Amino acid sequence: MRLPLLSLICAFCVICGKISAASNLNEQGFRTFLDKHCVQCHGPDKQKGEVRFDQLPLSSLDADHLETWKTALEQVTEFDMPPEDDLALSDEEIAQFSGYLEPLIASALNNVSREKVVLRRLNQEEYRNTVRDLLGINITVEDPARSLPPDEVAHGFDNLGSALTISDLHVDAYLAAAEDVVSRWEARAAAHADSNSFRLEVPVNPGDKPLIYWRGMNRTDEYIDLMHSAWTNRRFKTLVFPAKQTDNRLLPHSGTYRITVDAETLHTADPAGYELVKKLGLDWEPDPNETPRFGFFLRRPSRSITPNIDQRVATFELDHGTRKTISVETWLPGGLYTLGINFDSGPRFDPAQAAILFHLMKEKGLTDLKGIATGYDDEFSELRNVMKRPSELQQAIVDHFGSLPLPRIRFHSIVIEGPLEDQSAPNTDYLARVNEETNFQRQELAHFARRAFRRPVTEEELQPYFDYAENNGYRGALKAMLCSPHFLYHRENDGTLDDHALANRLSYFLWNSMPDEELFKLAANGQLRDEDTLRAQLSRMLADDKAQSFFSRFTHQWLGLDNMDDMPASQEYVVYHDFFIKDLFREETTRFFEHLLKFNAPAADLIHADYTFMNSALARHYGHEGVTGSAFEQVSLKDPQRRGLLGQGSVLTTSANGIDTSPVVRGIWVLEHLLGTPPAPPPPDVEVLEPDTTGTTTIKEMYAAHRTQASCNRCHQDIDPLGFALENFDPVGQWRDQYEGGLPVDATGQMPDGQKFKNIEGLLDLMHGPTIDLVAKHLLTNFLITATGREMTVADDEEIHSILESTASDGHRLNDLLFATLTSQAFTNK
Amino acid sequence: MSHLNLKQPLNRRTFLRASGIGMALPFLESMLPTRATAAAAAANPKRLAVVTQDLGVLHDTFFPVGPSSMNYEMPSVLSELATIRDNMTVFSHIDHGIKGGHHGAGGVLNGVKPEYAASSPFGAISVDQRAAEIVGPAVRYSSLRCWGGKNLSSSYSRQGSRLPSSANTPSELYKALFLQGTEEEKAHARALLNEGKSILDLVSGDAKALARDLGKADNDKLEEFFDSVRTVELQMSDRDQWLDRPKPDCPDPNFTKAVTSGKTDDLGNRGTLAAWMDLMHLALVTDSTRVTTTAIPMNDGVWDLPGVTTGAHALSHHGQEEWKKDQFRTIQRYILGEYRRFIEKLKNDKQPDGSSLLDSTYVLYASGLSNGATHSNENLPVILAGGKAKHGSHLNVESKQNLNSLYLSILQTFDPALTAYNNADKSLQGIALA
Repeated sequence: MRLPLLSLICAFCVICGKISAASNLNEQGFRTFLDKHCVQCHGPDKQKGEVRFDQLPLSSLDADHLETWKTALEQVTEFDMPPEDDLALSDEEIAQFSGYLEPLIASALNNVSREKVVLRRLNQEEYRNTVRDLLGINITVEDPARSLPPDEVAHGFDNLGSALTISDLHVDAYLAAAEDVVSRWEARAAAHADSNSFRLEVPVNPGDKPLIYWRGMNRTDEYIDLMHSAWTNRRFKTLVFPAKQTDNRLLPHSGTYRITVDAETLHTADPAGYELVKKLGLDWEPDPNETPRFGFFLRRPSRSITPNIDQRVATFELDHGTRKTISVETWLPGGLYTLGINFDSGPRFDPAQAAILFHLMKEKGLTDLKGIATGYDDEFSELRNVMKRPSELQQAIVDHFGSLPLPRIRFHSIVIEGPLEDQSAPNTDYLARVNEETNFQRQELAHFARRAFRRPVTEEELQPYFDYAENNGYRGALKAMLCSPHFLYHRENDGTLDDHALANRLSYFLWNSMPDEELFKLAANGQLRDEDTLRAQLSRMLADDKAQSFFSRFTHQWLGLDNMDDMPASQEYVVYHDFFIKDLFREETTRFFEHLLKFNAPAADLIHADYTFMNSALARHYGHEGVTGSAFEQVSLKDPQRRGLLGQGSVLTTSANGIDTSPVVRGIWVLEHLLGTPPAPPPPDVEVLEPDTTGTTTIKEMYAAHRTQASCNRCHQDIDPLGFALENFDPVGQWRDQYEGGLPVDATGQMPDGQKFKNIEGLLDLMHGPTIDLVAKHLLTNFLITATGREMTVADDEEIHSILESTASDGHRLNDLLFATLTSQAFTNK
Repeated sequence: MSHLNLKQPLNRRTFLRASGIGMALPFLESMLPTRATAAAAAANPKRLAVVTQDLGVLHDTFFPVGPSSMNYEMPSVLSELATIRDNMTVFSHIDHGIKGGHHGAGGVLNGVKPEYAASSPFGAISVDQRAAEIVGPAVRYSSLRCWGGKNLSSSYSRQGSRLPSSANTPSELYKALFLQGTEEEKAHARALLNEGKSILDLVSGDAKALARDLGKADNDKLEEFFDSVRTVELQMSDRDQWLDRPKPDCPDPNFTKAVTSGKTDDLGNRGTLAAWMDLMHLALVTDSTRVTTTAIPMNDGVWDLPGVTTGAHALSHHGQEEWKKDQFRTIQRYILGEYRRFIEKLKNDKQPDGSSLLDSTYVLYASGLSNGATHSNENLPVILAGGKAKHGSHLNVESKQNLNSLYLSILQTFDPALTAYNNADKSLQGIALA
C-alpha cells in the first residue's frame, strides 16, 4: 500500500547526512524556482493546505518553518507536488530543489532545540486521582473535580502545559474542592469512630412499612421475586429502596458496607421461560446460558448534577437453581441516595406491559404476542385504563407472573451493615487542637506537604504554613496546600530533571496520579535512573490498578475516542444505548491495549491481532458466539473482518458521526489517528458534498468528483479507499451488507499505487512493513506527547527515529516503545 | 457542597429555602479587571443576552436572499420572528473564518477554534465574558451562563478557559437569584470567604517563591495564576458586600411555583431551554445580572415537539430526506420562537424612564455551525435584536468582515473607548449600534 512512507525515509537521509548532489541554486534562484512552481497555489492569492512559501524564511528557521520545508521536500521528491500532471517537475528540477533544501534543513536541524514543556497544571483526571491517593478518599461516586472547568485539549491530549489554563473559575473551584475533599477526609475518621453502628434489613415481606419500591415482581410474606432486567431504561424500575427520595439519608456515613443477601434462582436455565419472554416480541434474545447475576446500583438524588444514571456498586453471581447466602463489601456514600437491585442477566421487559400482554394471552388464548399492542389496540388501552391504579396493576402482575415459569431471582433477605472498620482512617484530631503538641502537628503538616507537593519541602517553604496554622488553624493550612501552585502545578527544573521531578513525570504518565511511597523512596535514593530498576518499576506500575487510568485515557486520546461522547449514536440504535455498548467498546479497546503492553506484543497486532476482548453483551452486538458472562474475556477472532483496531466498535463508532458513515471521515481517521499522517485541510473554496441518503446515488458515484479533479484527487486518493474498506461497518460498528435504503455496500477500493482490495480483509492484507512502521511511530510520538506534556517537533525527530530503528528488528513491540519513552532524552529532560 | 447540619433531616422545603447562599459561591462569579469603567454605569446600563446553538440551519429556511434590504422576505423558519421584525437584524455571509465543523462550532462567540483557545495570539475571551468584564461588580452576578450540566458552551474566559454553566439546573440558579438564605448560612459563607482570602494570601506567597525558580515561559504561564488569584480576591470583596444586600423577589410567581414543585429540572431539551430562558429574563429584569448566555447543547435527544421523533443531530444530517428536514425545521422554529418570546417579554418590561428593557438589551442569536449536513462553519446564522440600533433589515455582509466586528460593535455600546476585540479592530460596517 502506498502511504506517505517516505516521510520516514527522507528524514532518515537528512539526519544520516546522505545528502544528494549539491544544487547550483542560490537563495535568489531558489525563490525564483518557488515563484514559478509553487507560489501560485501557496502564496498571497491562495494558501492551499494553509501553506504559503513566499513568506517562509530560508534562514534562522524555527521548528515550524523547518516542518513546512521538510514536508515540501518530501512531497516534491515523492512526486506528490505539484499535483497536476502538466505541471510536473523534471528529474533535473527535482534534484535542483532537493539539492538546495536538504543541506539547508540538515544544518538548521542542528540549531533547533527541543521544545520545553510549559509549566503545566494538574488536569481534572490528575486532580481527582491525586486527592484520592493523597487523602485516601473514595472518588467513585462524588467526583472531587466536578466543579472545575473542562480541560483544554490540544494535539488530542488534555495534559499539554501550553494549552491548560488557570482562570478565576479554577481558583474558585480549587477553594471549593479543597473544602470538599478535606471534609471527606475528616469524614473517614468519623465513620471509623462509628464502625459497625448501622444495620438495615431490607424488608422483603409486605407487612413492614413501604420502605421499598417494587413493581413487576412476585411477592409473598416470605420472599420477593425479581423477574426482569431494567438495564438503564428508567421506565422499567425494579427493586429500589428507600421507596421515595425521602428526607432521610439511607446510610449515616460514607464508608465500606457489607451487603448480604439470601437468594435463589428459579427457572433461570429453563428454556420454556425464555420462550415465554420471547413471545413479548423483544428485540433482544434472552440467553438461558448466561450466569445468573444481579447488581446493586446507586441512584443519585433526582435533582442533582448528573442525570439519573445508576451507578453499579456491587455484582452478585448465583448458580442455576440453588439458594445461597452471599456477602459483598463495597464503598457506599452517605446521603440522599437510593439503592436499587437489577436482575442483570434477566429478560428485559416492561413489567406493566408484560402483565397486560400475559393477561391477553390467557384470556384470548393467544400463543404469540408479537405485534399485539397494535393488533388489539382497543383492548390494550382498555386494560391500561383498568389497571391504572398501581395496586391493580401490581395484582395483575402477581396473577400472571407468579404462576408462569419465568426466570427469576428470589430474595429471602437483604441486609446492609457497616460502616466497616477503616484501619487506615486518618488521625484528624490534630487539626482541631490549638497550641498543643505543636511539634506533632508540624510534623504531620510537613509530611502532608511533602506528599502534596510531591518533593522534599524546605523549612522555609513550610514556615508560612506553620504560621498560618497557628493563627487560623491546621485545617485551613491543609486546605491552603491544596490551593498552592506547588500542589497545582508540576514543578520541573530546566535541563535534566531532578529525581523527584522524574518520579513525578513517571507517576503522572502511567498513573495520572502522584508518586507512591516506593517511587518517593527510589527518587530520594537516586535509583530511578538505573535501567533495571526502571524496568521493574514499569512492570509494577502497569500491574497496579492505578494504571487503568493510563490504559483507558491514553487509548481514548490517542485514538480520538471522545467523538463517541461528543457525537453520540442516534437514539434509533436502541440496543446500543440500552446495553451501554459504548462503554463496552471502550473497555474492549482499553483491555486490548493493556494486553498488548503487558505482553509486549508487536505493533502489527494493532492492525492484525486475531484476538480481542468481549463480554456477552458486546459479543452479541458483534454477532460473535460463545461468550456468556458479564466479565470481559479474551476471544480469538475466526472472522478476519474484525481483526485489529479497525474491527473494534470504538474505532468504527468514533470515525462515524453517530448518524451515518462517511468514507472521507473514516479515511481521515485512519490517516490521522492510526498512521499519524493527517491529510492537509481542504482548500477554502471547496464546495462540500451535501450527503444524499435517499437511496438514489451510491457512495462511489458521489465520490466520483474526488477522482476526476486533480486538486481533490491529490489527497482523496489516500483518504477515500481507506474509508471505502470500512463501509461494511455501520455507525455503531455492526456489520452490514447493504445500506438502510437497500443499496448494497461496495467496500472495494484501490490504493494510490494501484493495489486493489475487495473489502476490509483485503485492505488489512496490504497493511504490512512500512505501514506498521508508521503505526509504531505514531504510537511512540503519542507516548512522548502525553508523557512530557508538550507537542513533539522536528527537533525530536532524530530521537524518535533512533528509537524506531532500535525497535524495528523486533517488530516495534509495545512495551519496548513504552520503555524507550521513559529513557528518552525528551522524557528525562525538560 | 452546602454546609447544612447533616444530622437534621432535609426536606424539599428546607432544601429550597436554604442553599441560596453557599452554593452560589463556587459557581457564580465573573471577572472584573476593568473595574474603573464599571463605575460609569449610567441610568440605562447596557445588557447582553446570548443564545447559541451548534447544529446550524437549513439555509433556504433561514437566510433571506439578495442584497441588504429592509424589504426582505422571511423564509419559513425565520418567519417565526415576523412579529419582532422591526426589532431585529438578520445577517447573512458573516462568520469567523474558522473551520472544523462541529469542532469549530465552539468558537462562535470568540472567533477562535476551541483547541487554540489557550494559545490564541489575540486572546480568546468570548463576547459575553468581555461584556461581563465591563459590567463588573455593578450587579450581583457579572455574568450568568445558563445551560446546565456538563454541556459545552462557547463562553471563554480571558485566559482561554472554556467556561462551565453558572448552575447545574434551573432550580439551582433560581436559588442563587432569589433565595435569601438564613443568617447562619450567611455567616458560614462569610467565614468561608474570609478563610478563602487568607488562603489566597498564603498561596500567592508560594507563587512568588515558585516564580523565582522558573524560566520565562513558565513565568508567563504562572502569570495566569497570579491574575486569577487577584481577580478572585476582588470578587470576594464584592461578594462579601452582596451577602448583606437582600436579593430581589422573583417577579414571576408562576415560575416560583414551577421551581418549588420540581417542574423546572430534568425536562427534555424543549422544557429545559424554556426554563433557562425564563430565568435569563428574570435575572435581567431584576438587575441580578446584565450579561447572560444560554448554549443549546448539541446532543441527540429527541425534542418533545409535535411530529418530532428523531434526535436533533440525526435530523441535521438529513441526507435530503424530506421527513428529516421537516422535523429539523420544527426544532429550529421552536428555538426561534423561544428567542422571540424572550424579546417580547423584554419589550414589555418598562424601565423607570419609560423605555423598555429591550432598548438597553442586545439579544444575540448565533450558531457556530452553518449547515449540519455539510459541517460548514462558513456563513453562520446570526440575528441581533434589541438595543439602540436601526433594525428591520437583512444585512448581507459580503465584504470580508468577520463576526468579531459585530461583537466589537456591541461591546462598544458597553465601553465606547474600546477600539479592538480579539481579531477585530473595526466595528461592523452597515449597522450602527448605540
